[in-house]
Amino acid sequence: MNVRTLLSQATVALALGAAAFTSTASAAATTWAIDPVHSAVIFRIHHMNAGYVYGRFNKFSGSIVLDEANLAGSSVKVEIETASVDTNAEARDKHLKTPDFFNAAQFPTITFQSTAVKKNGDTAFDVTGDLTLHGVKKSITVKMDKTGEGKDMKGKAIVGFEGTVTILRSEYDIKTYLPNIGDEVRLTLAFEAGKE
Amino acid sequence: MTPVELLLRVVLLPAGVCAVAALLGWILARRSPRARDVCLAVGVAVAFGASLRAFDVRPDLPLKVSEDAWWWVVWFAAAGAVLGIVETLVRAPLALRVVLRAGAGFGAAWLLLKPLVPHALAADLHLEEAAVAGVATAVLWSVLADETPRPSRLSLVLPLAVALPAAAAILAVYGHAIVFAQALGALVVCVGTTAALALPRAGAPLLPASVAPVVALVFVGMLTAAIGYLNFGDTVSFPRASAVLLVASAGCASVRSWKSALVLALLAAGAAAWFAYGHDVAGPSLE
Repeated sequence: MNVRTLLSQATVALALGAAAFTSTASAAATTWAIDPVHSAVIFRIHHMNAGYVYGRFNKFSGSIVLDEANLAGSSVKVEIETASVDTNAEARDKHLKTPDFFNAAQFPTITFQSTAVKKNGDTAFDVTGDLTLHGVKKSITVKMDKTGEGKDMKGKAIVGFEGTVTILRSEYDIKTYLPNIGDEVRLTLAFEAGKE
Repeated sequence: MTPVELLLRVVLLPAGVCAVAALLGWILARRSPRARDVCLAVGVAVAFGASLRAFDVRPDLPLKVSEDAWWWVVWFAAAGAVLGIVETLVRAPLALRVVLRAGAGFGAAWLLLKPLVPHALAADLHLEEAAVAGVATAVLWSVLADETPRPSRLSLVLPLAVALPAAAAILAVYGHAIVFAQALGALVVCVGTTAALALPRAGAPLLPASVAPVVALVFVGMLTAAIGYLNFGDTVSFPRASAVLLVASAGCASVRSWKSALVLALLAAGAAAWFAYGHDVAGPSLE
């Protein structure tokens, strides 16, 4: 085999290897669409220093881009419809939508856009991002845990994440009835997402 | 907020500021008769703003879309004081003043409702609501500022004393909004304190014309914000009923005696309550 042939074969091998590496790297970043039917956004707040009142947001959407080999390429985006708040009490829900609390007419969505994702264990992630609530944007870190992977009834790949974060509503200019209604609000985000 | 804190922020604080303004006006009136009117206009606006600040309403300048838009009524009260002072010092033809009053009301309402466009309010409805607010402001302001001698000094104040609390109650109960009711409550205290302190001074109007724009812009502003930001559902006519109630009550000032004016105002309030009786309404949850 002459040198020219060897060089040609080496060049082809290098090119193929580079292509394989590139395709592997981009294939590792997977986009998942949050399935609202199998997900939940729940909050809890202290009431009159006694019990906790729980509520949820019934309408939301979002996506998760996950590249476990290169977390810098990962992201989480969630958009919640403020007026979908549901605490199982119609009068309270109406009240929550007024300017006393969420002012849903002026601020129709609550959004979370990640800015950094870090691994914190085998299945644990620290997702830092901007939470925009009631017109105020603040950086928060949500500790998310990958709860599992599987396939849905149609054979589509699905993945689950769950995490919590505690915020102070006063930092988002929601100060009505403090301290009788607590300042700390614990958010639980439980997502099941399907592969796009 | 405890009852004591509520009393302090909604009643004692604005009443105290109005009292200081009235005292200052009384002292300065010896040098210039118009000084009292200027002091009272500024006093009512500052008292209203101080009360709102006490329950964490702190709007920034310039107006920020990221903050609750209804907070801007604080600036409208300030603008009302400035306009009241201008009208006290500069006598323009009535037609021009009415047009400017309508323009101020239109501008205030347009600003208040702008953050809702287009997701919660169509552009054409935005203009329509602002136009209605402009007309309401012009009418209310003109009635309140009318310095034609009335049969009784109480003719104007008593209807206000009925209509303003009625509007606050409507917002609280039907609109599920405590902060709106607190804001109107502060306005009630400002008006009441100013009028009460003027009672012993025979011949002095209980509410000088300079205070009229503050009351008109704040009241119409709050009702406009209520229509835009609260969910009245089927009862959306109630905030409008409040405006009609107040304007009608203030118009009762032309009636011969304050007793007749008060009776008419109470009848109007009763009619609004009767109209609301059949609706399934739940007030603020307080939870």
